[in-house]
Amino acid sequence: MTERPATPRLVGRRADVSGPGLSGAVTDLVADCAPDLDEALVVPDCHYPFHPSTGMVTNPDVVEALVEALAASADVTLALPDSEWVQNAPSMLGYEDVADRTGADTLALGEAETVERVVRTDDERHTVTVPAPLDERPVVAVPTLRADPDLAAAMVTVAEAATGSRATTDVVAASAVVDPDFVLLDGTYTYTGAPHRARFLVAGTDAPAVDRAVAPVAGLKPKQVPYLRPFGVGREAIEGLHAEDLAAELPHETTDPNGGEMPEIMGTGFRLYAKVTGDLVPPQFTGGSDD
Amino acid sequence: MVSVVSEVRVGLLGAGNIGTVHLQSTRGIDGARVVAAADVVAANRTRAENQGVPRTYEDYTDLLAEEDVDAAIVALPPFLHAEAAVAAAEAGCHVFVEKPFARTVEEGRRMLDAAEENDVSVGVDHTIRYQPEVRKLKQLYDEGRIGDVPLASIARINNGPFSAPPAREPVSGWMLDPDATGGGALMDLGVHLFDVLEHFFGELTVEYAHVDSSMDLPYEDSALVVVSTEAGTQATVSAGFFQWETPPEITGYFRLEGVADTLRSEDYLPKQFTAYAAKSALENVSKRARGQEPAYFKPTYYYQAHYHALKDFLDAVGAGEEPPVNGAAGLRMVEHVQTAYEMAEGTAAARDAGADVEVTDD
Repeated sequence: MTERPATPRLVGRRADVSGPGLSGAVTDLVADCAPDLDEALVVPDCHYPFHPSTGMVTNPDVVEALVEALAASADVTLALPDSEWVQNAPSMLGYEDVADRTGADTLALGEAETVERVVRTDDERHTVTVPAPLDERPVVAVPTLRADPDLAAAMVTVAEAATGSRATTDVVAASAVVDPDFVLLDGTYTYTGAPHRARFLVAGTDAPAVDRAVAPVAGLKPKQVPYLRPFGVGREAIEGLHAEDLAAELPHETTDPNGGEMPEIMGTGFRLYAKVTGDLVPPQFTGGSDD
Repeated sequence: MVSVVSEVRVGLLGAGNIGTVHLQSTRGIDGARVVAAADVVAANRTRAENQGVPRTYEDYTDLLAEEDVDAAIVALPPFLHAEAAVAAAEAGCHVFVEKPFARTVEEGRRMLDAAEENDVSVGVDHTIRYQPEVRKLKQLYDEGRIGDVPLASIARINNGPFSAPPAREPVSGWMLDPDATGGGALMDLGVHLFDVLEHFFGELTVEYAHVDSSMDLPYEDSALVVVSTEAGTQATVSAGFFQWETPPEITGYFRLEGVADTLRSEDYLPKQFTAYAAKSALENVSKRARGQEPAYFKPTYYYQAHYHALKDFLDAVGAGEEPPVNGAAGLRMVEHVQTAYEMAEGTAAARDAGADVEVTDD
C-alpha cells in the first residue's frame, strides 16, 4: 500500500466516450492523480450485462484506456467479479477482448481464495468474506455512476466485487477491508433513472471521497447515501469539474426498484377481481418461478 | 385422422411462467381441463396444485405414463420441445407446443413425423396474430380497406433473457445457450413475426438477412430480414433482444403500406394500459352481474392472445379438426429462421472477405 495524502484529492475531466479523446483524458488523470504502483488489480463494475451505453456498468473502453495507462509502470491484472445474476457477465461485456488487446492478465474473483474479516462499526460487528487478492493487492476501482435508484459508485463496485452484495452493511464492511489505492469513476455514460452520455471522469485516491463528491451529480446529498455515513458526509470539491453543473446536465428520473413489475398489492387486488368475475390470473400474480 | 371428444383432458408439461398462462387459459375454455402437470421445479408444482391441478409430477414422462390425457401442452424450454412432443405423440396425445416450435428443422420434422405416425394433431403457440390490434389490422386488410399492400414492416424488440434495471432476477443458464434455445432474437421473436406475415400474405420467401450482437452474446441480439410473399408484399422483419422492456409497455409494431392508405398496429393499441385495464375489469364485473362469462384476460391485454391461441387449438382437437396454427406452420417458421441464419452467415462471411454483398435469387 502507498501512503495516502491527508486530504483526499479529486480531479475531474470531460472526456469522449471512446477513442483518443478518452484515452488521453485517462492517461492525464493517471499521471496527475494516481499513486505510484508496482502492481494494480483493476476492478470494474460489471455486475450485469447491461449495455455500457446505459451507464449501468463501467464502459469497457475506459477500463481498457486505464489498463494501458497503468501498464506503463505497473503489472496490471483485470479482476473480473462473478455476477450474482448472470454467468459470464464480464465476458458478455467484452472484458476477454480487453485483456487480449492490452495483454493484461485476468483474475476471476469468484475462483480466488477468500479471507474472512471482522469489521466493527458503531459497536456492531460484521463478518465479511472477500477474495484474498482484493485484501492483499493494490486495488484500482473503476465504477460507473449509477443511481438505480440507490447510489452505486466506487464503494458499491468494490463491495459487489468483494461480497456480491450491495446491502449497506456489506458495502460499509467491504470498504473497510478493501481500500482502493486509486479510483477512476467512469462518467462517460451515467444512469440517473435514465441513461446519459455524460462525458466526464473523476479520479481520486479515496473511495468514500469520490462517492461523496459524485453523489450530488446523481442528485443526492452525501447524507442521503446510507453507506457513506460511517465514512463522513462532508464533501470535497472536484478539481476541474463542478458537480452541480454536471447534475444539471443529467436526467433525474425515478427508477422503479421493481423494474416495472407489479407490487404484491396489485396481485392481491387482481386475485380478488378474478374471484368475483371468474377471470383468469396472470402468472405474475400467482407466485412460482419463471423457468 | 382425429376423433371428436366430449372433454379434452390436458396434461401440462412445464408449469413455469408460460405454463401457468396455459393452465389459467384452460380454466376459461369449455370442454377442456388440466388433469395433471409436470415440472422439475417444486415451487411450480405447488403453484399448479394451488390452482386446482389434481396431480403433479416432477418428470413429464411419468405424467404421460400414468395419466389418461387427450392433449399435452409443451411449455418447456426449447431444448425439450422435440423430446416432449414426440413422447406426448407416442402416448397418443394431441400436442400444443410453445414457440419456437423446434430448435432446428430436423427436430421439427421429427416431431411432425411422430404426430403423423400416432395420428395426433400438433398446434403451436404463435400469439401475435391473436393480439387484438393485429386482429383488427387483419380484418381491415381482408376487407380491402387499403387495397394492395406492396410494403409491410413488422418488429418485436424486448430485453430477451435480461432484466430492465435494476438487476434483480438470475438468468437461467439455458437461456444463454444457443444449443438450448436454437438461436437468439430471430428464433425467439422472429418466428412470431414470420407467422403474422404468412397469416396475412401467404407463403414467405426469405430474400435477405443480417444478424448482429451489440455485446459479446452467444447469439444475435438484433436481426433484420427481408421477405417476399405470395401476395406480392415485400416486408421487413426486425427482431431484437437489446431493449429494456417494462410491461405492459412493449416495443412491437406491424405496419402495412397499402396503395390507398397505411395501417399501423399502434393505432389500435390502448392509449393508456392502466385506464384500459380498469375499464376492462369493470366490463367483466358487469358481465358477471349479468351472469355472463368474462372476457378472459382482457385487463392484461397481451395474455388474451395466449388464451385465444390455446382455445383455437383445444376447440379444434375437441371437434376433430386440424388446428388453425398447426405443426406444419410451426416448422415453416423455423425453416425461415434457419434460412435467414444461413443467409446472414453467408452475407457476413462475404463482407468479412471484403465483398460488395448482394443477394439475388440466382
